[in-house]
Amino acid sequence: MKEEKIIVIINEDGSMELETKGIKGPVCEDTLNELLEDIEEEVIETKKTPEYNQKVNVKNINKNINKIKRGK
Amino acid sequence: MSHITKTKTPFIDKKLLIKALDKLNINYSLEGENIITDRKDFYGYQKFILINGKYLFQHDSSATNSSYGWSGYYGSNWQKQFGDWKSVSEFIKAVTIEYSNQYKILQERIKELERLAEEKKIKEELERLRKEQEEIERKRLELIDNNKKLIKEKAKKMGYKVKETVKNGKVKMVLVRRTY
Repeated sequence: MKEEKIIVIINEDGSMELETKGIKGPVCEDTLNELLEDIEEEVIETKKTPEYNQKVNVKNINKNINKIKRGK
Repeated sequence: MSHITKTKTPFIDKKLLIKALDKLNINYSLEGENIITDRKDFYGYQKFILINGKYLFQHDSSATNSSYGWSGYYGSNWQKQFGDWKSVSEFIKAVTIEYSNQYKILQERIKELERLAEEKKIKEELERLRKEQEEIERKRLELIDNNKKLIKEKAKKMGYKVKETVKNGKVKMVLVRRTY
């Protein structure tokens, strides 16, 4: 079992800082983009963490997506 | 040998002159632009008459420095008639001092009112800025609440559980989901 975590900080001025943990590969960026989809705000800075460049087991990702879709 | 001559302050303003006379408890009546005092000399009432924009004191020339006699003509109680200034020169000197004093009072009043106006202006500006700040604050809190709501809704759709804490004005949301 793997835990994926996103930490969202909403600062006093309304700006936000988001960081993923346990999400490997470029999908982490996609996840954040998806999360921010409904918030109409410009992203002014992005920084890749070491996890971004880690290899991803595509088979596992598909499996996970299916589970999420099923609401498990 | 040198000589210094000093003229009195010209009485150019009727209101100031009247205030000075009031302050000195001098009785007078107004006749058009002229101010008739109740001081009497050989030729009648002494008066301030407006000539070329200045109030000049009209009186019998012999009354300039004389401090005697007039009470003899018009009654024994000279103080009632002349106040503390029996001669015209004494009288004019007293009026001049009070006239200048009244002008100073006017200037000080203007300064005071200017200060109060400035304070009022500052208070109004402060009130305006406070309202502006309140509006910004209201919008800020509204935006943060809205962002929290959107993040929560989206996170839920994406299968995350959300834990929220607030520390030092910052909202921290930890979104967690478990995958296999």
